[in-house]
Amino acid sequence: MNLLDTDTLTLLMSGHARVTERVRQADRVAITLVTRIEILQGRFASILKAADGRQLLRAQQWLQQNEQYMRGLEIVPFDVAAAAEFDKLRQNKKLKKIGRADLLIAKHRAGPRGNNRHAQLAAFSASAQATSGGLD
Amino acid sequence: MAVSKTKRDARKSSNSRSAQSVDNCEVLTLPEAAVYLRIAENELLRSVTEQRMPGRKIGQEWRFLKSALQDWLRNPPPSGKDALLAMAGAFKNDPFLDEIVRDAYQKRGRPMTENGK
Repeated sequence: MNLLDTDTLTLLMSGHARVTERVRQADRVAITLVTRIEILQGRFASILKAADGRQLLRAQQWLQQNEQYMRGLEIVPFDVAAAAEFDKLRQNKKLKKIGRADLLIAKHRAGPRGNNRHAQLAAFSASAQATSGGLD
Repeated sequence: MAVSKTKRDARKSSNSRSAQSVDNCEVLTLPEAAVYLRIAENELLRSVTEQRMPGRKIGQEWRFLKSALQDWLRNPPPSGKDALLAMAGAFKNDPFLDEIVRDAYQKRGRPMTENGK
């Protein structure tokens, strides 16, 4: 299973050729619940921050389109093992500086069904970095 | 026991009515659509929310167009990887996308990519 983080998903959404090709070649690709939350939170914020009526309607239109497209996506949910791993990561003082969203994503690395998902996620992030002429 | 038998009879009669109306109607209720597709009602509702099965809630009642259910069975909407690929480039002109991803990573407290670009 390959997981797309939020930045990579948005690159795909904007039509980034390399990311699109990587997704096309992958066997199975999903996103995490964190990414869904971040995208939708951003959409809601766009509506609430709209400067005028025109922008309000545009923001609403993009929210609706985003919701429609996201319905078919495979979204990796939290299970009991992932929740336990999240608790464990939160207790680790060395990880204090890591944000909550990243900890929630990192929990996919462990657990009985982990399958090194975080490494796969990193692979896709590396692909995303290629946008700015870096890795891959 | 007698009550249970009565309930069973009532259910059987209701199912039989559903089966009859399924044959005759183009627009189906939730129980009728479940009978038509031969699945449980809760499975059907899950398909509506998770797999974009066509159905509408009007007030408190669900309605399903029989021909739309047939189309959905024949040509299911893309799911998983296909759904992701359907998104590719669909938001190319979205003026909000950059800000959304920037805000998300600001809340995470780190740059978008490991090299900060």
